[in-house]
Amino acid sequence: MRLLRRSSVLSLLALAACGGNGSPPPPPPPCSPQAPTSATPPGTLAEWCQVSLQNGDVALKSGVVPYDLTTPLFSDDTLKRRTIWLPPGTSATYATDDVFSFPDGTVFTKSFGFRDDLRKQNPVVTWIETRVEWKVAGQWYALSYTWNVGGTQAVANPAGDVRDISFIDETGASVTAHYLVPSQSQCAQCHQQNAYVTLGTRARYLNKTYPYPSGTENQLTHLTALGWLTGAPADPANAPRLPVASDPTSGTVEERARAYLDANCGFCHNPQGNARTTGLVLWASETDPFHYGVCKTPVAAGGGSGGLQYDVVPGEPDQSIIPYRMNSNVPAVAMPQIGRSVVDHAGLQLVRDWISGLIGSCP
Amino acid sequence: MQQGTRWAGVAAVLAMGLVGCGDSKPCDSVSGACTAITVGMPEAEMVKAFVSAPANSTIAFAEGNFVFTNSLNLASAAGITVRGAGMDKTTIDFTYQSAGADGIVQNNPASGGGAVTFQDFTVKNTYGNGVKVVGAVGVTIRRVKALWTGAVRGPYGLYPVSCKNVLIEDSVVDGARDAGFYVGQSDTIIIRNNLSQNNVAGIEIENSFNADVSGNTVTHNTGGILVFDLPGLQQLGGHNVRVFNNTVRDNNTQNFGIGGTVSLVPAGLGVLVMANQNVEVFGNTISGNNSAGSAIVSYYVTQLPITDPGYTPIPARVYVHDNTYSGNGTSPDPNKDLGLLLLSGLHAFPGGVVSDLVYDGIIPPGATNAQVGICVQHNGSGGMANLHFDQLPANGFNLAATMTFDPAPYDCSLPALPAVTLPGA
Repeated sequence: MRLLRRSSVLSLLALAACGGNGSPPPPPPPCSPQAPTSATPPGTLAEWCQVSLQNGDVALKSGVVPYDLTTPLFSDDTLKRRTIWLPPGTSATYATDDVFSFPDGTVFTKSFGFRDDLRKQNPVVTWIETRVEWKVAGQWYALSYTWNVGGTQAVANPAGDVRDISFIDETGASVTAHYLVPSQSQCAQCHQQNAYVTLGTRARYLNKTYPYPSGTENQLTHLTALGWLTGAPADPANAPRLPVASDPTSGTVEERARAYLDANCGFCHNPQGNARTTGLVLWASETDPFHYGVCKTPVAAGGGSGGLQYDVVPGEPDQSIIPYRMNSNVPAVAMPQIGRSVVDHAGLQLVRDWISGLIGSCP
Repeated sequence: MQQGTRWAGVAAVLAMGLVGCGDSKPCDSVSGACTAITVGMPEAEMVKAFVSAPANSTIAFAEGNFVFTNSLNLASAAGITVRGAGMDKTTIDFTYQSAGADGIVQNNPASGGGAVTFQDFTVKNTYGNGVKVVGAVGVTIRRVKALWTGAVRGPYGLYPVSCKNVLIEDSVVDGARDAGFYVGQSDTIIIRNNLSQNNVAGIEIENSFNADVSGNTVTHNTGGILVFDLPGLQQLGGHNVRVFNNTVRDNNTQNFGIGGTVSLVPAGLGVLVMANQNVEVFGNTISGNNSAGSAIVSYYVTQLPITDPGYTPIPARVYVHDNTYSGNGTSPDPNKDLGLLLLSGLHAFPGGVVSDLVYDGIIPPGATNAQVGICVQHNGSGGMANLHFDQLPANGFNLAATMTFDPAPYDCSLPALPAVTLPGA
């Protein structure tokens, strides 16, 4: 009995492993996105009928809508493509600060690819994985599908893995990322707050324009017009908007640095997140300087503090723990704890500039 | 239609994964769903068991060494048990870890958070914490060893935080850079019959309510047992902590902590109570700790800022009684401020040895000790010293000029604190 079962599993795995290389892939069968009804996901990304790879980029199936964020999470300099799909006749509910409330059957995808050379106008992109997040019976689930070498098939990878990937950065230097494809439970490290939540679907991240095929439009307006979002202000100017950390015209150094920390740290460092136990709150809306790190001693950082006393010392980025941890790639020192294995030099410089400009001192 | 059959096929594969392939012996004595982890399984297969563990299931390791290169994040489902074949038979080895910060970690949602059990294995050489659990209700850690053998040292060995109903027993932590056993911002805690050695702090109860720390052997750490309340955290006001019948011996390891409050602790401190309310320390054997056998201090001794209006930095209602002290306080650690202070005033202590209990003497303005309730009785002849921290700056930190040794103001008793009870413990 056992032997029989094992051999059938083996043959299934063999099938999965053999797709793609060699003979040209068969054309994908026509499909349209279907609302998931089970916590158990399909074994391949194709079965979701949300996205595929075509001509080196992510291609969206009919009815699937792309989006991006004002200030995104840095993920080892990867290129990211995000999509949303809602079942026909359903809609999400807007919230000012909180994540939007999505109906059952909602599907998000996020694809991660490495560019060969960040200086190139048209770099060659190696797509690593597409993460899918879906909602069934009030519960969110998430799983990574990793792409084969030819980019013809992505297969469920619940255990995740680490991949060494080299590329050329903006300065022309060769960088090797130890890129983490998260295990299914590592997804929870950031997404599991008091309940499992989506992270990027807040007004302050989504309130920006996107170049849709139909023309450039504000994302909140576009989703509302589709009937996928209710309750958003008619004029997006009345919705919160996080500055774009990388765009000096979008806010002061302080506003952009706080936006960067919001998007890159706030998913754990908030009153419901995994790092709630530290007392360090890095949402941009936090108004108490102590709670966003000024003269705050770490609680459970251990060696992660580098022997420095405070998270942020005004005027002293070299004496501040936050930039120290942003500048490290050592496990248990590096922040965020997972999902970053190379330093985000631009983000680090922004946070350092903010700290340099802060007035005051710590005891 | 075709999609439907495919989904069913995948479901069958996943179900197979739960049953596990290979040697099922580790699951033999387990009732309910169980996944066996056996020697030679690829890491991805082992991780899958952690990822997909359903509620109330068991992940059972066989005897052997199991190497992981990435943190083991346990599914958030309630009631999972991770077990090995014995603390000295099954090793979950993170020596070659390259991703993730901790060893085994579970983020168990506070809303509807469920129980989790770890037993009968060693977790070794994690970059971060050995076993970390956030937000569970019902944490049992039994016969688990967290061990560091090389240059890499994680902060905490066994680390439940923001949990309720925590039992840690018959376990060992050796080599943590912060606290071996650390329970933070939690409620209803029993830590008993464990061995904590070669850590910076042996056992630390921080910002927690209702804890019994008993029957533990705490030795060769920098500080033995610490009961702390710190500002700026979600849960403040640590109270109702009993420290009793422990052996706190020879905790003289140089502080190798990096940053954080614990890095301020001088080597050779046996039991330290800081800024907690309602603490009872009794029946302990405290010996050979070179800075001081025990200390009661306010948060002010850290010289760190307090901006938290909800925080109470001054300890109150601390009852230290019926402990056995010997050979403590002979050579305070000059590498940390508190130790240096004690060393500088060593000649002024009776017999040239730091008193068995030192107290910083800081009380709220206008209060009396009768109101604060620091009570010290029946601890033998080693005496206590009030260091009068409040007067030290004006005296050029000359301890000889400020400290007093009159036990009379503290010769009082407090009602016994209630024992902590846990369902099934």
